[in-house]
Amino acid sequence: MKNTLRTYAVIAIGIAAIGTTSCKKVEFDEKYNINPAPNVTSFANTSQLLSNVLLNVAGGPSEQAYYVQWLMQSQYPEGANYSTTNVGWGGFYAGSLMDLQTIINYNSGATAGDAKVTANGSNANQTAIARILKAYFFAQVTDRWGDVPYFSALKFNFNPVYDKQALIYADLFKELKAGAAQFDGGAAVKGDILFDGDAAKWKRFANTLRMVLAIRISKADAAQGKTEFAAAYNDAAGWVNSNDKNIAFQYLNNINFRSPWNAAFETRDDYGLSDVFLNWLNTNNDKRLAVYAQVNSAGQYKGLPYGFNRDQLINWSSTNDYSRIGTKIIGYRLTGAGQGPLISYAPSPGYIFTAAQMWLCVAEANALGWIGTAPETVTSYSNGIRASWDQWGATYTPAELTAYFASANVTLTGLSANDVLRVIAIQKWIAVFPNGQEGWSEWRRTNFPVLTPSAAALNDSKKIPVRLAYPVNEPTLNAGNYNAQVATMVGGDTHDAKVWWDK
Amino acid sequence: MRKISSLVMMLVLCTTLALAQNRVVTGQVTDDKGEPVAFASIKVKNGKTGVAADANGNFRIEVKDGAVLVISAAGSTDQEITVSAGKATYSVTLIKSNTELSSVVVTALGIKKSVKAITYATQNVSVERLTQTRDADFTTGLAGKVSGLTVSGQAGSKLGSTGAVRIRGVGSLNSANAIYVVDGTIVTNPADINMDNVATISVLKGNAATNLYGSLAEGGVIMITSRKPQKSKKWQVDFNTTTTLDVVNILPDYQNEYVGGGVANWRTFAFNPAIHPAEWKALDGKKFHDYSDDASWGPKMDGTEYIPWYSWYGGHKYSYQTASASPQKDNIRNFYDNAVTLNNNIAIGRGFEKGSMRFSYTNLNRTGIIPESKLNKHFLSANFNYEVIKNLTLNINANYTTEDIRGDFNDGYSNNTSGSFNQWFHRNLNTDILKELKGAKAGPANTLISWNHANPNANAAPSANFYKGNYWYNHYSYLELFQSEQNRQRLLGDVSLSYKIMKGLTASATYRLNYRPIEGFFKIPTAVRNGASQSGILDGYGTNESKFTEQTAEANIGYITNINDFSVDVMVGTQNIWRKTTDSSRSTNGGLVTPDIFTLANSTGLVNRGGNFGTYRATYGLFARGTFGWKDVLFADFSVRQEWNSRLPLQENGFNYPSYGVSFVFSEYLKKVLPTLTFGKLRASRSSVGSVPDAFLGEYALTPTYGTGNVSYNNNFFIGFPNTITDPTIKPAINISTEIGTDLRFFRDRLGLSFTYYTDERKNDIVPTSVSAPSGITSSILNAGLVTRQGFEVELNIKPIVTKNFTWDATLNWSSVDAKVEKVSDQSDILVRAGDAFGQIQLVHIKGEKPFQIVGNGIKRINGQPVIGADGTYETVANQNFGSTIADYFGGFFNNFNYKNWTLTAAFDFSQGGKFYSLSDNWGTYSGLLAKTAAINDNGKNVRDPVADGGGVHVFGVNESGKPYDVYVDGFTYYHQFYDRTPEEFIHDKSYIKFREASLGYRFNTKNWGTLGKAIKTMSFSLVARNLFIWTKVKGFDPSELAAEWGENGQLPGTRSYGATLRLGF
Repeated sequence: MKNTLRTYAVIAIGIAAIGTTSCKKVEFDEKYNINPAPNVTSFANTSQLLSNVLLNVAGGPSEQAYYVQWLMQSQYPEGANYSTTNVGWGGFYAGSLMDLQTIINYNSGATAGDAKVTANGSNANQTAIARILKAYFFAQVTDRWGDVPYFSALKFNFNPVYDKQALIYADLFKELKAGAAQFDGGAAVKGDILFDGDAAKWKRFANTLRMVLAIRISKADAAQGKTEFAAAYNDAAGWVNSNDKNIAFQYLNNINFRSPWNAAFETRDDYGLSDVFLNWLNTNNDKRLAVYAQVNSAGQYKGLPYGFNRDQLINWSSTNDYSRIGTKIIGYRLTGAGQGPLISYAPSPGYIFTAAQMWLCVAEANALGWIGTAPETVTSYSNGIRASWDQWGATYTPAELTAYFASANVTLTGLSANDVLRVIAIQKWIAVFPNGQEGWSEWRRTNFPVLTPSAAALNDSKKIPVRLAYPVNEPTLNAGNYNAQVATMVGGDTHDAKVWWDK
Repeated sequence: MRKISSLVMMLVLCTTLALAQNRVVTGQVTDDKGEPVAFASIKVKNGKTGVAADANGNFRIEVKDGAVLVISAAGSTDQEITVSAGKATYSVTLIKSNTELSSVVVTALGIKKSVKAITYATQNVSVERLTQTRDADFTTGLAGKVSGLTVSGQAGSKLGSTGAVRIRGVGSLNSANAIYVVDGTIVTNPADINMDNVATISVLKGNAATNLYGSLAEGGVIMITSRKPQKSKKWQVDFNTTTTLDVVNILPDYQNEYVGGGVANWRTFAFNPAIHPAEWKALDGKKFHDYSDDASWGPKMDGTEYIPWYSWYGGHKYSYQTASASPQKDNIRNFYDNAVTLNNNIAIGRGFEKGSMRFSYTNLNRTGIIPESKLNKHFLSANFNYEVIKNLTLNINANYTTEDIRGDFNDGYSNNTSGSFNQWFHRNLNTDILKELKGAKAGPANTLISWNHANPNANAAPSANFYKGNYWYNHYSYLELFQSEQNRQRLLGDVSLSYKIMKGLTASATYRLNYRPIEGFFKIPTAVRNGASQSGILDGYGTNESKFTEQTAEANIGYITNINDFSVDVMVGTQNIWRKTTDSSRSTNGGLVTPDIFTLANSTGLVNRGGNFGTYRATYGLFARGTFGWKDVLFADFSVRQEWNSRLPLQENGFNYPSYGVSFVFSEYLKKVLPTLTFGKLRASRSSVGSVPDAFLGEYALTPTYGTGNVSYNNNFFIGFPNTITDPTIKPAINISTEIGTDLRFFRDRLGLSFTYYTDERKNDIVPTSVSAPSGITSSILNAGLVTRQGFEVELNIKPIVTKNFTWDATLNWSSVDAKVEKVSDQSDILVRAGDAFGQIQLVHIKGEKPFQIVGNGIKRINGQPVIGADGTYETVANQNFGSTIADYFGGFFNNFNYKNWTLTAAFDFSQGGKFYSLSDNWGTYSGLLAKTAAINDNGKNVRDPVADGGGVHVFGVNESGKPYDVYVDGFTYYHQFYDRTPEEFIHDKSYIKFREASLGYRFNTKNWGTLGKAIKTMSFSLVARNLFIWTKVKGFDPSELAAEWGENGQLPGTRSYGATLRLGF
């Protein structure tokens, strides 16, 4: 009996011990608490989010630079031969765009008045910059993939709907206008490593982007294109019309903030200028050649044969002795692969919009009759070329430039309306180097210069890609919306399916 | 601690029959090593009286003089003693019968239980079996010896790494590995277990067995009990020494017909005195192959006189000489070293008045098969117990380990050994010359020379690039220059006090510590950076250190008693665990400013810093358990654990889960009907366990946080919105199991059979669910998945032959597991878990399928026939499912033969089903390294010969309209089509049968040695071998040693070992 009592006592103590403790919750010693976590914050500093976005505002090496035949791979030419189909977009949506959306979210609603937010600039100013940049990055996205989730994006909706590119473009114009109008003269925005919080420059950025996007829809919706272009062109805030206004991210002579073109060559040396691009510059005596390309070990400009496969490249007698990309772009000299330690981290600018590109846009708008008159086309065109030569500090005499203007492949004199557009497009093709995305978009829209697809093309169609296929996981993660979208696409989700503005 | 918990757990099995007056006889039952045999049965022959010994083997029985006592314990041969007048104390030694059927099982928290009372599956592994070949790796020693247990072994070439042990396959969307518990303390890394100190191992498999450990042990537990001091008051000294030689085992089947390079033609060197070095005149007009491409699609290796890679460089005996292009069949096998392992252990121990102590020291000294790799490890252990005052015992276990590892063990894509040999290599390279030219330099910049350099340029002087490597170094030079060293220390131990309050009532308190500091560094000399133009390797220096401290406080009170026919064994306790980790690493960024100065200050860019913050976590547990027995025949068992976990949301960080079971020893009622049935038991249990998976719910995972960096752009710092967000109301996943089983022994233990069937249901599984990126994030961690699992396990122990001089006993275990993903998440029916280095395959969970499916682009088929395009290459389709990586069934077969003093053992294990992907096979195919790329086709021609001449791969299939179609495709095109189009060619069956271990031993009769024999009490010598042979469907790869769940990226080769062991007891 005594034993039994003891047994019951032990069991009772056990049950009591468990029962008297709150089973749902226990207070741990402070350092074991999950909040706040050490060395991280759960309240984002909006200025740091903005800096993070701007770090990626200029592009680097891309396969698009192969598609427009500026560059060619020297060893494994799969990328240049169109092997890539599906491309991920997480870096845009879950990267820059979500950072920008977070800035907008912090500057509205309950946190808008928080001193941690307003210390980084007025709510209106922060929101204005975030909206303009959001439009910029969304344009990057839709120009790559075409119809993409837009209106339902960035809201933690795990099944976002795809929106038509035409509707997206219309909203981008709206956002650029509204964003530029939102600056309120309040405290300047911090963390702005592009413009140091200068609202005037952001307004100019917005106008410039509007002009670029307006030209982009010249074939798909000329009426809206004309309206938007003219409005932005004439806006008091102006646009990038001279090289001192060029919009560029300034890389530093510092390994952490060097140009991505520089980083790409650090331990790898596997591409250079393609013969297509190099030969055009060379035969037309274009002084940008000396900027865009280095000479090979024999002191010559020699392009890599575009459209070679690996075998052909190995047997090509000059493998390893072709023209690398110019030192002003990649930041140091390479006469052969990776010679010696890097001498500089290239504080080269990552150009986003330049006067050269914009004057050529204006020339095209003149030619289309959107603004101005025919003689203005010639002036704008010349301004564009001159700005491009000057942008990179090409060495030339006035006579050389005059001769270039007059040369057969450059002059506008005596050309048909279509040929005027052709030569403007070719000049833009040269001027926006090495911005592959912009070069590719303009080539897709204008179809100039006429490019022959690679003879060693690895894709099924053997055509130059005109679109990036959706990320490989979209069919599983967002099946309903993806399938509905693909059903509307001619030829399905391929890189041959043209985007809306590509006619 | 052991003694205390034994007391606590003691089952008193006295019968209460009153017989004619007898006298009291006491005694202790020990085994042949002098260690107590717990719960042995003591019965009067031909009588009804019987008692059971306690946990320390002590018994007390009342008998008449002249009675014969039969002492028996499962796993031992019965012993009889006759009670003689005047002698009241007897020592009984039971000889172990070498089967797995021990009578005692060490269960969760170190609690010993009689097999009769166990309501779930456990398995003891005899240490003799595990250490038969003295494998330095604890985990591979377990392979095939426990039902339901699989070892995904790491190749023996990767010193200091151990394979992961998985119990019952995979029952969730995460693959939880088993944990290791040494004397109650959780050990993080099985490499910290000193096999020479292990006394017993028991494996706890299902939830019911591991319930008391809660979420810590969802993957099962390997319970290890250390050797304890002898009771004997004399010093006992044991000495073991083993020397093992490891050699490379399985290598891919290489082609030996074509030299290196990317093109099939010989090129001819034209000497130009104006630009070329004068010495090259000797090479004028000679042939060379493409050196710049690191594949082997070069010209035929038919004895052609050619310029090998090294001839272009001066300064060695082969300079400016040609060689003949001839096969180098064993160049890879010759590259790897024959590795030596020396394992020496000495242990001393003795008992004294009120306690005992034991010390053990082991030195493990290994060299690896990878040149320049080595490991040196010291284990030091001490155990001490002492009865401080009456009924209060102090017990201390302390283990210290220090381990130094040096070498490059990278087994990823394109690593500098196997990643070259199996992926990017020239088949014509002569390993001896590579070795002779280790460290050799040449050229204007005096850089390292390499087999993979630029081709000579007919129009230009050789540039600096011509001398150095293109992508690759001379492997010997790289391994000599690259330095990486890690020192791992570990202090593991416990201090416990236990107090016997009164009969049957015991309280104890224990403090445990697991402290693991690790520090290391790497140095990459500037010669490496300058030695290749595109290797991607910069010079640099980095250091790392981390500390892991886990402290555990345990207290419990237990009570054991008998009330008439009932036995009661109950306990309540707590187990609180606090863990702190810090880790930090720093490395140079962008190379060194001043060559070969290995300091962080010499970094070109801002120093990279990793980790550098601490994490804290706490887990509090409160538990109660009880076992109630009736007449030693029927047992009911329950346990419940309440747990609070600091990684869970503050508003609800506690959860609890119960477990209960019954066992019924039915053989007690069948003695007359079925006398051959020595023991028969049925058991059933149902239990649940919560899970807070480390991989996705680490510390501070619940709120979106923004990391801060030290990198600034003109004083602007950077943060980004996180890509993953965790559900702030996340709950633990819960695993609910039902298990039934039976344990049967026949013919006085000559035959033993154990059978278990279980079903598991895993609810609210916690997974990072990929979500569509336009949502703003790419993944979300939430309670989602549902996985079910069922399986059975069979263990069979037989002794087919038992004669005076010869015995054969064997153990066979067989397990089958079948799991199914019932749900992935609300967002998706597919969850991506991992992938290979190139994204060719992905390891995914798919609703309705087994977990861990390999998917990728597949060959398009019509009615099972591959569809071939016009150019003879396969058409492909996206997202093909190639099957699960999980085996359908697996097991092992262990044999032990004794003939007089000789012992022969042989251990096999097998696995059937499951797939893996080999990236090495992919690149080895693409690069023309593997034999299939130079096979002979059905025309008797090489597949690389022109199709017009009868060469090419004969491809059979159908065309796009489904009509039969066959065509010859030239080998280069055929074998190049797979890269980035379909990995299907490289998905292989994981099934294997492995002859894993064998040993032949001889036990010397030291008793006949006179004086020497008095000093040396035992002495045995054995020859051992491991990884003797494997039967597989795949050739050239060892599916039992895969580094990744899905396969391998560039895995190091496995090893075969031969060794000799000498054991001495003084």
